[in-house]
This record gives sequence, structure tokens and C-alpha cells, in this order.
Amino acid sequence: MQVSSADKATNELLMRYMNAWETDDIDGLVELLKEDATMSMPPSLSWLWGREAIRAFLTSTAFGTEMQHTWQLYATGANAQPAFIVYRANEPHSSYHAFGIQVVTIESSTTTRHISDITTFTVPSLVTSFGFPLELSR
Amino acid sequence: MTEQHIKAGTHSRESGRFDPIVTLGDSAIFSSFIEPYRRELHVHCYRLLGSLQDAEDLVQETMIRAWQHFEALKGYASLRNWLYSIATNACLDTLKRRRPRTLPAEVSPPINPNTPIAQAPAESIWLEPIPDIWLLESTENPEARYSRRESVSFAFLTVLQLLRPVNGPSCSSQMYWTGAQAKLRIYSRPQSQP
Repeated sequence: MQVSSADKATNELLMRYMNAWETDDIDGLVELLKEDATMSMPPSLSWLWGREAIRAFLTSTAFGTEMQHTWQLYATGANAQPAFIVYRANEPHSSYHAFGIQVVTIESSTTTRHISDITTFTVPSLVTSFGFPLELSR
Repeated sequence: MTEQHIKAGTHSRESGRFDPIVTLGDSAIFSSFIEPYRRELHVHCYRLLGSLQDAEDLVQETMIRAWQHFEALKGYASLRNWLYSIATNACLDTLKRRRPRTLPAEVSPPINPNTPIAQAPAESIWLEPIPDIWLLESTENPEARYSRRESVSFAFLTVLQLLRPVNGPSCSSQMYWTGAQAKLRIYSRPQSQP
């Protein structure tokens, strides 16, 4: 099957996104977002609006510890959208525990392609319905 | 089709109708008819309800209703259509009783990133994700697969949830979908300002 250049560009965007999470690269991650991107974490009611608010949240909370390589992502698909199985290590060198399922929305124009929404369902047990285990050793 | 199916009932080629000649009360034969449709009914209920767990409950409910009214299937054009209409009505009944499932941006303003994250509400009020593999497994042909994939995006599910069924049981699933698709065309996610 032929891969169109649009698919290629989307795959590249998703690879950069995954890589940014796994290497604690906040700038690299924020660069991929649309200026008015949104981010939510159901079941919490809270959600963030705009690239800079998301940057502040990532800095203070998601990557807020001294720890490196906190996050590990595996690409999947949910609701016919790109998605990731998300794991988090709670301590340095500890194993990764299921964190939830992250679904992203991509917005493209002829020249640009950005992420316009990140919804992270922070329900660890959801990973099992995607065929993934609750815990991963390093 | 297994030998058991053939003995128990057939689709008549001439009339296209399903003619069950099962002995009512034989639950093993009943299950052998219904089981092949379980996964696709689960996806159908998910599209209406936005939660796999809720959908699982409604598939059970559909099976019970089908079992109770198996006699009504006689002469019905298709077993599949009959099951879908039962499932749709069961889901619409549920939707009338509970608030719609949506996503956080639909119900509250955005937070200041320096404030702590809010706790989860006690009630389950959010849409939940469905693995794409479910959509592939439960679909019989590429055309249906395309429309099924298109109609599970979160934007579409949100519209569907916010459209409340108002016409009672007479509201067919077809009307429901057509209404949702029409509304999706004029709907764009509100861009709330912080």
C-alpha cells in the first residue's frame, strides 16, 4: 500500500510527539501544538487552553520532578484518531505503571500540521482493553 | 453456517426473511443465533452511549429483550436489523434517564495552569475511548467500516450525546444518525477564551 505524503507528515508529527514525551523535551512538545490547543485529563474536570498554559502545566506538573524519562508511550488508535498507551515511572529506575490512554487530534492545512487537542483518560485499567499490561519493567 | 444453524432456522432466499423454527426456550440455540452479533452490537451501543462499560450493560439488556420477544422475530426481514432496533431502543431509553457523556471542555471553563487539578466528579460523566481494533473487527465491509470510523470521533460522539432523544421510541436510529450528521456539519467546537 502506498503511503501518501500527508500520512508521512502525520506519522512524523506523531513520532516527534512521542519522542518529546519520552525525552522530557517540553519545548519540543509545545512546538508541535497549535496556539489555541487544548489539553484535558478526564475524569478530572480541569482542562487547559492555549499553548502557553499547556507549557506551564507540563513544566510544573507533568515533568515537575527531577526525574528523567518519567513517561513511556506506545502508539495505538482510539476513536479513529491517533492515540497512545501511556505509562509513568513513579521513582527513578522503577518499573512503569499504566497511566491511561491519550487521544490526540491533529489539525492540518496545506502547509502546516499541528496537534489541536490532547485528551488523556487517566484511568490505568483502560490500557488492558487495548491489550496492554498494567505494569512494564524497564 | 453450522449444521445447528441450518436445522434451527434459515434465511429464505425468495422472501429474504428469517424463519426461526427453533423450539422457544432452547437457550443454546438462541445464543448460537445471537452471539455472532455481540461485538458489533457492543460498538453500536458504544456509539450511542460513549462508554464501553455502559455499552456492555446495554448489550446484555438487548439479549434479554431479544430472548423475551423472540416470537416477534418470525417474519422479520433480518435478524441483524431486529437486534439493532432492540439495541437502539434500549440505548435511547438509557439516554433519557441520564445526563449526556461529554468531555471536560464542554462543561467547565479552562483552568489557570498554576492552580491544582480538580478532583474527578463522583458520577461518570465523560466519554470514554474505544480501541480502533474493535471498529475493524466488528465491521463487515470497507464501506461500512468507513462510516463507522467516521462516526466514532470524539467530535461526533459529543454532538450525538448533546442531541437528546425527544421523540420517544418512535425515533428511529436512522433519524437519530441523520440528525447528528446534519448537526455536525454546522457544529464547530466552541473556542472558549481563557
